Amino acid sequence: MHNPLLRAFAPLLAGPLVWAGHFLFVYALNGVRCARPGMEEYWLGIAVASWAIGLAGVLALAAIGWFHRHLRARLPASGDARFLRSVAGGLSLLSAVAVIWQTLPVLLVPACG
Amino acid sequence: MTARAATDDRPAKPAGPAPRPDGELALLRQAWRPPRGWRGLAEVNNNYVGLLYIGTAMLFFVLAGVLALLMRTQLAVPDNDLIGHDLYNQLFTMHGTVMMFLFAVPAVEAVAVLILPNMLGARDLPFPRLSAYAYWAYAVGGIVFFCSIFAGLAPQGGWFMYPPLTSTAYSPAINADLWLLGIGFIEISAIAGAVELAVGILRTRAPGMTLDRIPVFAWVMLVFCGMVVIAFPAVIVGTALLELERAFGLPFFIADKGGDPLLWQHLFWFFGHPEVYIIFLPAAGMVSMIVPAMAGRPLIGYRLVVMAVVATGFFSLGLWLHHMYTTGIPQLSLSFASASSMAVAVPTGVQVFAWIATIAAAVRLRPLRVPTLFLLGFFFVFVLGGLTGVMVAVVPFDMQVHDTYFIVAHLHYVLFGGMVFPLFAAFYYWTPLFSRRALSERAGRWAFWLMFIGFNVAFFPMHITGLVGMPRRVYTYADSYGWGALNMVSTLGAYVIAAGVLVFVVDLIRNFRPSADGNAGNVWHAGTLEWLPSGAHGPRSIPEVTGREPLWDQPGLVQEVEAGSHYLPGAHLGRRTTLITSAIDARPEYVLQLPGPGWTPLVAALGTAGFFLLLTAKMMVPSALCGALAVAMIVRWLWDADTGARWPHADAGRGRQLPLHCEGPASHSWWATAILVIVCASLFGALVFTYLFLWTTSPEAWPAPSELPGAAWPLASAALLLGSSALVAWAGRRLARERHGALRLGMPLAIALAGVAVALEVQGHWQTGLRPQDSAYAAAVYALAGFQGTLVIVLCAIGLFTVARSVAGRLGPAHRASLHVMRLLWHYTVAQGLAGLALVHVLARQLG
Amino acid sequence: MPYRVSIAVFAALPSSAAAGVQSVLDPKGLHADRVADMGWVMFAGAALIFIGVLAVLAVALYQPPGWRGRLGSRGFVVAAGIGLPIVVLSALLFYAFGTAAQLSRAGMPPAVRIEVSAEMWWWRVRYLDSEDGVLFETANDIRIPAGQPVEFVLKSDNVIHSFWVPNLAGKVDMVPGHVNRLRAQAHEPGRFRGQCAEYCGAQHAKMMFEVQAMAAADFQAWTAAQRLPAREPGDARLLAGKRYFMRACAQCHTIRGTAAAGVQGPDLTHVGSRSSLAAGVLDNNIGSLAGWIAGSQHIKPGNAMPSFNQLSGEGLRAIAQYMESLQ
Repeated sequence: MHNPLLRAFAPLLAGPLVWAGHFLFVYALNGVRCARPGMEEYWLGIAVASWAIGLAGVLALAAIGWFHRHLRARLPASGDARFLRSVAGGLSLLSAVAVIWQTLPVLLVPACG
Repeated sequence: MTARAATDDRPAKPAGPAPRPDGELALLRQAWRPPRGWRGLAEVNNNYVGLLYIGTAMLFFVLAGVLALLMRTQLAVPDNDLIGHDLYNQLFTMHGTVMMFLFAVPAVEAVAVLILPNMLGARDLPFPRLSAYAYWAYAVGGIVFFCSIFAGLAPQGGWFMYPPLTSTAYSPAINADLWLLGIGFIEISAIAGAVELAVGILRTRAPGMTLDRIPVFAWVMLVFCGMVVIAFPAVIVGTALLELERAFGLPFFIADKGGDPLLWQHLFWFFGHPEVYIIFLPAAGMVSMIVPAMAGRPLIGYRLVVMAVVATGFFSLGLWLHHMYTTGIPQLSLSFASASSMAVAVPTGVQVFAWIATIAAAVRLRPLRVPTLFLLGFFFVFVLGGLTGVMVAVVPFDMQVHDTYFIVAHLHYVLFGGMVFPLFAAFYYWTPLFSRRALSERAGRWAFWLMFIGFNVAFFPMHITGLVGMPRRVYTYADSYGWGALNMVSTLGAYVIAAGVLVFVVDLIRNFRPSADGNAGNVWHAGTLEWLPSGAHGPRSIPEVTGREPLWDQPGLVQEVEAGSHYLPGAHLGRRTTLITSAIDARPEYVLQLPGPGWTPLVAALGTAGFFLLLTAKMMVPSALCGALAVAMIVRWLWDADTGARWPHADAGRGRQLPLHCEGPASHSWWATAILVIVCASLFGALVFTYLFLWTTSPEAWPAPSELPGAAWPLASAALLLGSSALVAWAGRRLARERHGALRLGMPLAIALAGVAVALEVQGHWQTGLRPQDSAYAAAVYALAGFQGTLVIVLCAIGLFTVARSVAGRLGPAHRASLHVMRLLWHYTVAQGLAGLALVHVLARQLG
Repeated sequence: MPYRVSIAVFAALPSSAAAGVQSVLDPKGLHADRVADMGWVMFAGAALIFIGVLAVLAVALYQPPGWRGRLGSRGFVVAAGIGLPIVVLSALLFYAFGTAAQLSRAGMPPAVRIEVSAEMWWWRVRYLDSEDGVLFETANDIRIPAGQPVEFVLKSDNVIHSFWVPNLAGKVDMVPGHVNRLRAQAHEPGRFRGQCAEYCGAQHAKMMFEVQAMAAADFQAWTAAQRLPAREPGDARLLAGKRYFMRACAQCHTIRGTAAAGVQGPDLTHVGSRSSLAAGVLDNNIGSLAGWIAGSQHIKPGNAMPSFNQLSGEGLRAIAQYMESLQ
């Protein structure tokens, strides 16, 4: 990542990009599994797809955390590093909250009703 | 090839008081002087194009507002027969379409075109002819489109034009085609604007304007560009698919043939929701500039606000489903959308409280001036709208109020409150920059109070009207329903809004005297760079900045800039120039030579508008001629570009010698192409979504693996695509060593390979007996190939253009921008082609 | 109860005379109740927040001593702009998901299943038996048993429409190619109006319907009567009307028990017993029937039925009397 633009913006955008990937994944998965009810599999009484949605939430949070620590450390040492750190931190926090909020319904709401 | 331009890294000489040579200022003025009289239409300077742009946008605001008054008059009393159903349905469709596509997005783009370069310390946008082209295409196309209502040909499907109502079976006439093709040129101009603004914000800032010193409005516009680039392509694909269905029978949305009306809704709303943030965020950016200026102190929570706008931009891409809660989508999927709709409220809250905090810490807010009044109105109206937005984000509640006047109330509160009020604040705030006289305080107060009171009287009752049962888009209602009084109140309020707008228009006519050279000056004593004394050329010299509010932080800056002590105090060799700086640190990198006035953008825009509009009227030959004219003009304008480093380095001021040219990935044209590649990727993504979505909902239309073309077809296609890429790469390497032969022979061959690759893909399907009209699956497959073919045609044009330049001696190792552009697009197109083949041939075999 | 208060409040407004019959604020069914409750909670919360923000803004504007430092700080922005929304919205999300889950839980099997197909611009209603067979067909006038769950099976084979009875439940769209289902349950007998809530073309504004909840015994009686074929004409006058009908109307309309078997238009077997004509546009009486037949294009321009103004006045009256007799 020698490109200064990427080096500055990657920590910033990592959180929201993980959020976006998580959203796409859970939404596509739920759409397909509700459209193919015959192919639903179960484990411990809960649909595998629902486990996957929950797991995706956990993994997404872990990824946000990892990116937050790892990429922030590699920010350029220029004057606006404090700015980038701050903005990246806020974005990671909001992305994490959004991931939690959009994983929550798998515990409460029926999948296809 | 280095990723960074070679720069002169020695520290610049300090801005000294040494006087500038005689005649330098006169030469600068001369270079930027607009042509006189009607030739002024050929001007491409952002100060002129921007004014035309905002004027046209306000014209559409007033026109669409008149349509609204007509609708409200019809609805004022029950069982009214003033306006019949046919006209009324055209009115509400046009009101929404014109407001959203012809007013709101162009208005915020116009403000950016007008103000951003000055705010960033640049003399102009990096591609002035592109913004001129985008403006003229929008203006001509938009006006012709609006006139359709006078011919009774206006579309009638609602601004969101849902099929099957807008399919041929239920809308056989030309009206729907007019919408579909009519907004085509608006989509082009929005994307062109986004490409240009993004490059401008990233590469033409004043030296020293590091990321944490960029004005909030510029940050917001950067996010805007990202959103346009990702979201607009979805509606481009949607409108293209619907037009293909209407014109050629490709059944994307026809349920009987495996299509799905919900496909349109997904594509449209994936664009439609970011669209409203595309409209709101720039207005919020304006608020973030005006509040500190009026308060006399910097914005509190600058980093929080930047974080908030980036977060809003991202989250807004996940909300589209909340327009579709009632369509029968699974509950859990709806809940994901509900969650992300809540998530987007958090960064919005951050901005609101940052503004309130800044007001709390104000040092000079009193007496309240007109821009502050409009901002207070914005707070009231927008926060109320945002709260009803959170309410409707909750699925069960929305199931009751969706498609009722409650939503009409909500959307007007957030759009009028969140965009129109800040826009009027911006008018009263920034007019002194562009006019010899500022607007009238007294008229401004009248306009504000009339609009504010009128708005609340008109729209607050609509919350109730919707809750007591009135659906949207109804041309009349029965007396016994009891909605008459509420509707009458709303109609009266609408007329009061109109009175307020009228007061503003009269004030404008009486006081606005456009003048690039003798403006009213920094009447607010604001701190950002657009308030430097400036003329058509922008500031006298491009300043070095050390803070976020340079006019507050750097005493003496104004005098230094005026004395020409900073960068580019003159016009190099009598030409217009501005400074290209690095994206992160804003270190000067090279001097960009800008074009002066010319007719090619205007004529190209006329050709483009003519192409789309005549195509709608099914006048194929005139349409093709217009298209050819547009292409010819574009070729003409590009022919003059990138003439290479024929001149030595230029004296850029402060003892710096900077190159006049840049090669390769650090150049502004490469960056613009990279953004265009993202647009293409988003278009392709929408097509991939189309294919996968249709597979999900209509698996019966999908072929068994045995019915797919044999593996030889896609393998051959893939091989040809890779071959063409290899040829292009080889030609480029040879050119680096001044060998043109590889290019001149290789390009036609590469074009042929890429073309045959597409032909093989099409033929592969055709020979299995599959025809595009057979089913939604067939339509999707041929659409993917068709898009690939479209890009190949574009590559063909660029490739031949590059060869022509090579033959004409305008291409060489030190000036080969067109080669770089072509290579980037080529390798992208090949990658896209391979991905498309994988989807249609490999994935289909797994899914079958 | 909050919604009774709302009725009192809105009764003070001039508009509310008939507002209850198609009103979200006057819930008469299980789903509408839950949504109205939730609506009031959210309204109260939103109003509090709105007043709070305006109050903070006022304090910021007037800058009483001591407040400038408290409000004019990053900490305030973080607390009010991030902290507070996260707390409030998290709570709201729990509430929202909980309510959504409650509303979509299947519960008891429905007592009645009614298939509603949207046409342009009326409602084709078919009562289904347990194997999805059609018990009988009617149009625009839906009766349900009070106090029992009912399932609507919603379809369209033309454009997108939306089925909305605000007193009972939220709306669900009728999308060509999809079958959507809506559960509703009325508390007590009553009459409610519904209206199409997705723009569907020229006469979207005039596409209403009525839902009437009846006591169980009344509902059984009504269903039994609907299943019977049409009443034979009792006298010469009605017989003449029937003959006119067969000549002019049988191509598009069905009257079970006669030769009329057209399916393009609404089933008219028991048209005389319906609450309205033309999908809620006209009252159901002989004059309206005649007026509709002679001038439907004036009343609902663009609809699929031409104006039969070539019929004589006597013929129109005869047909109208015959149709009115089809109870």
